[in-house]
Amino acid sequence: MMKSNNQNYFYSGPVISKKFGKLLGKLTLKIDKKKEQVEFELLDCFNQSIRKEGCVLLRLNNLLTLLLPSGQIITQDCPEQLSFISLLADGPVTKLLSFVSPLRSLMVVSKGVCKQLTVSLLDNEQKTQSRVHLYTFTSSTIPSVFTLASLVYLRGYLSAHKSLSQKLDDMGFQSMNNPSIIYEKLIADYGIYEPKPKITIGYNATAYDTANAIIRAYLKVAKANKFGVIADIDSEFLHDYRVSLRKIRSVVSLFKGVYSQNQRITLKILFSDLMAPTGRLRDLDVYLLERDIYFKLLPTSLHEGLEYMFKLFEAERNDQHKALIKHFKSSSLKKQMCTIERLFFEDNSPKVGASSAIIASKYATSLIWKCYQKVCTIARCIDENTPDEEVHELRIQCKKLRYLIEFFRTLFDKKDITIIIKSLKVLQDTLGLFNDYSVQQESLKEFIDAQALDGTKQNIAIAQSVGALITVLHQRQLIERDKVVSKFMRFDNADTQTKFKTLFNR
Amino acid sequence: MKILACYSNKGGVGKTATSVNLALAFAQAGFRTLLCDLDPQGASGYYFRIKPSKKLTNEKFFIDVKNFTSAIRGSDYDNLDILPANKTFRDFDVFLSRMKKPQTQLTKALKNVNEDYDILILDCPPNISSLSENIFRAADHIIIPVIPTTLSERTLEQLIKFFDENKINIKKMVPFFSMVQRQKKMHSETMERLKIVYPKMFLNEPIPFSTDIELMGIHRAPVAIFAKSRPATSAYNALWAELVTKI
Repeated sequence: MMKSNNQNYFYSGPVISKKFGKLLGKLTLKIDKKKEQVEFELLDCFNQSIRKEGCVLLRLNNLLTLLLPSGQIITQDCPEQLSFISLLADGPVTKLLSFVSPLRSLMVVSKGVCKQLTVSLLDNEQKTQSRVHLYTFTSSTIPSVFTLASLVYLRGYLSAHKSLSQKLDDMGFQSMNNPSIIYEKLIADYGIYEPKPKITIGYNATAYDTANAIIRAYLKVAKANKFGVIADIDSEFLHDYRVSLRKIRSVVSLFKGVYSQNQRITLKILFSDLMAPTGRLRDLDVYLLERDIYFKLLPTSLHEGLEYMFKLFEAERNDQHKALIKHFKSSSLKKQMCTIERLFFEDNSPKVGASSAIIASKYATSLIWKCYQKVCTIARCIDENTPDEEVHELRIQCKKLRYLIEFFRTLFDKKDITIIIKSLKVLQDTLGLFNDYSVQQESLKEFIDAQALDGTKQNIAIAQSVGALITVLHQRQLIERDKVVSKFMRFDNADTQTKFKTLFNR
Repeated sequence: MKILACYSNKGGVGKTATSVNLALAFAQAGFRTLLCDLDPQGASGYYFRIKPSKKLTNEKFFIDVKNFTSAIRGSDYDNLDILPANKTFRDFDVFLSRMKKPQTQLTKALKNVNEDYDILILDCPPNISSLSENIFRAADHIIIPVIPTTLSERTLEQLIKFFDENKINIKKMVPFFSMVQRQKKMHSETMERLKIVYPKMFLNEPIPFSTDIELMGIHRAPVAIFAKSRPATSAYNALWAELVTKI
């Protein structure tokens, strides 16, 4: 069901229906109270994609209710367990939530009870000329009561609409310009989650200050994702956790001279140790996410082996997840986290290196320029006969360049940086695919080698399917390999060269 | 915007009841729906407790865009608006006869709300006139309630002949059986015969003769509002579901 032409208001507290009175001008006020209060769940994904889109998603009993930025309220029956949008039944809310990442699961971010009330303005024919739906939410997690008033404009009855709007105004309701205020009012520690935090670098900030600021920002992201990894809400928690740690590791390795040599080695070990126990679980997550793609790559006759393989992957994934939870609770990890805490959030700051005092902007330009030159040197030597190792090296250098530009992006012109990153991304996409196909082949070979291929029906089927899969992946890798030179030439255009020179060769 | 005209040149066959109940069914399914009452008796508006328009009089319906759109009223139900009729609608034929290209004036007028609605349902008066011809040309589908009796059969034949003579696409016609009393042998036999005479033309879902439909006048609401779990509501929902697949 769809309600159009809504205008929403809010009030920080409960609403007493008697305050509406019985008459409004010549029109009669009719109050319909729903007898029972219903349970409500306020929903969003962890990356807050629904809130950031200016929408609000609620479940009132079994009714999924979506508030759009325009004020419209869309509803859909939803008796099922909530997880991914793709698993919701077809309906208007499902359709409108198509912007939500298919990798992200819905989460209950607040809950409590909701009382509903409808106030209608009736004429002498008992025809409704204006109507307001009131929802009073009482949170069960924080002492917060919040009322949403959805005023419905019925075409042709502007005067009644204005009267009811004025009445709400008189009762202390405020116009709700952004529905996401509901999240703000009903969530205990309301904050914006940003997987790529914007790191503002001060004018006089040193390279050392900047490195510490970046590491601190990404440590917070990693920390924020840990509960989701443990609760196994969706695979993106682990992904973001790992990306954060990878970025921290990049800072340690790329910001040469910022930390003392010994400190750099210690930090490298520390962060690598944090990442290591998550690697296999992430690989298995990727396999399982790409399950459908693998099936499409092979003819139906070879699907049996894939079914067996994915069953084994699922079982291994469960074991890996259990092991990771155990690791997260281990004393060794707690010790590592304490060390990190002291280094970056307390007084035991990392030991400085020779370049630590260099002003960040100077340090950044020099570092990015060197990295860019390295990318160009490698790429310009690549032709169809170049060994794959060189292409892998190019991928690694491009990644370093991308990280460096992103770390220091606030120091440079936003527009220029956006253009450069966009252009670099095109090249990286091809290199990424080339690498993915290569890594997948390697790991599938390892998988086959690890299986006791004893001639059982299952193992024969697995061997056939995985063998075919490796062949298809190899063909795909070759296709991407062929694109590398042309993609680099597109990246290496005069405009991009000039932009790099102007920004970083000072 | 799809235009559905609920039409029969015979009176008392259930045109208004069909218009009103189908309009609610479309609205409840999420379609932005406008029910336009073209019958000067104004029964559609009455069922929704909407007073006749005082301003949309005489030829203003066809020539005054502002008056046309501002006469539309929101119903008590989400997604459903009504354009109520008034007594001056009885002279539509006179106004049309004075205009250039009289056959297409209704199409022109309805274009005013093209962007606002997904479905426009016309509740039509029972006659064959200039207005009817306008309706046939403007509508994408013409929903025709047919009581399974000899007289209704004759009326349908007349209508088909009219379409033929005036070169109006006969495929627009979507008849269905209305006010069916299965216990009457004549009804059953007529339905069987008409389905053979006009294969694939009739909708399968019939609307039964029902006290609940008659009670709409007392409740001043569609049957789905006051008799939600009664056979009449189920019948209209089934008719709607079948109709949706046709349009």
